[in-house]
Amino acid sequence: MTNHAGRLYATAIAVLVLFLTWAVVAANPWAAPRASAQVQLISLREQALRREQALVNTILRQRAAAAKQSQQISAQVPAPAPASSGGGVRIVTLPPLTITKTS
Amino acid sequence: MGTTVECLLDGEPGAGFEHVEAEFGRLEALLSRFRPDSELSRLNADGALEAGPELLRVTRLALEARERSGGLFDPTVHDAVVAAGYDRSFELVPSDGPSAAAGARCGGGIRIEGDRIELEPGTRLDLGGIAKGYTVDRAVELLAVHGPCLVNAGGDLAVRGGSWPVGVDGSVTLELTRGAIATSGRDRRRWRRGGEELHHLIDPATGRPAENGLLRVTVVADSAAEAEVQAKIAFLGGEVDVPRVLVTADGRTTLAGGLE
Repeated sequence: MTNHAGRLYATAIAVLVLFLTWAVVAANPWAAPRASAQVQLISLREQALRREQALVNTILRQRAAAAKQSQQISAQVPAPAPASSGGGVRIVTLPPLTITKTS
Repeated sequence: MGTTVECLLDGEPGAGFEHVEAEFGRLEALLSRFRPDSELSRLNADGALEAGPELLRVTRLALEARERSGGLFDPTVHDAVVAAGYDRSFELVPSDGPSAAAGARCGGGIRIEGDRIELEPGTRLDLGGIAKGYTVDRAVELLAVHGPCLVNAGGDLAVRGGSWPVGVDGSVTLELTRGAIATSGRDRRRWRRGGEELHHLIDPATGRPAENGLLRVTVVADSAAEAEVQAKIAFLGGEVDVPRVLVTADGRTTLAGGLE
């Protein structure tokens, strides 16, 4: 009788240990958490935006440098005469290629 | 736009001309007051509109010009031009007829918020004083890809690159290497009503065709849209600081703004 009860307890404990082991293995706690597809897409988009940001920053730096250089050059050149301020223009005696008239 | 467009290109013959033609067609379809389906006509009919980028841009340019000129250049002259008799495409306007209606009020309010344009009740826009120049500016940018060029829409012209001798109707020849030229006057778009000669250049102060001793004014500016604006301001007696040629009604030509 005692041996029978002992075997029963041993079997129950074995079943419990087996179940716990299975639960732990199924939970797979040592693996890295798997990101959802949406999170992966957001991550890819973030990377693309970072690349674009770097590109835009480069372009802005280049344009700022060009604008600064242009400002420095124009600061050294005297202001043009009024006749050319509205567009490069002068009176000539050449035959006209076209005419302007009241539109 | 009721005019002839001339394109001159120092490059492969005909290159890009189809793009210029398409751009004129596209912008006319948006900005003409004579096309009932244009964005401008829908704005005038409804008093408010979620506008596309072109109508927004041209309306903003026109508003800036009105502000700068103290109201001499005014895109709200629509009803005044119509009252004077210019109520359809110019080639369809009868050359003579009974007396025109009294002048209409100008200076109506225009509000732009985001993409939405709202007109004060009773206000309608006529962008004829700037839209052609704006289109010329767009067209010459398209053509410049193919080489130095000039685009001339019935007298409003712009150049990119090269050197272009341009005759000013009946007076001097100007060599233009950059920028644009436009001419405004009362010697072409004119008609008679009740024995009175009328024209399309409205004085916003009176709401009627301007009456002064000038026949036409030609100005040089950085863009054709700006040249159109400056020409109208100069014709209406405003102060401008651009090279210009003024022709009086009695035929005298005066050079100003550094052209002397």
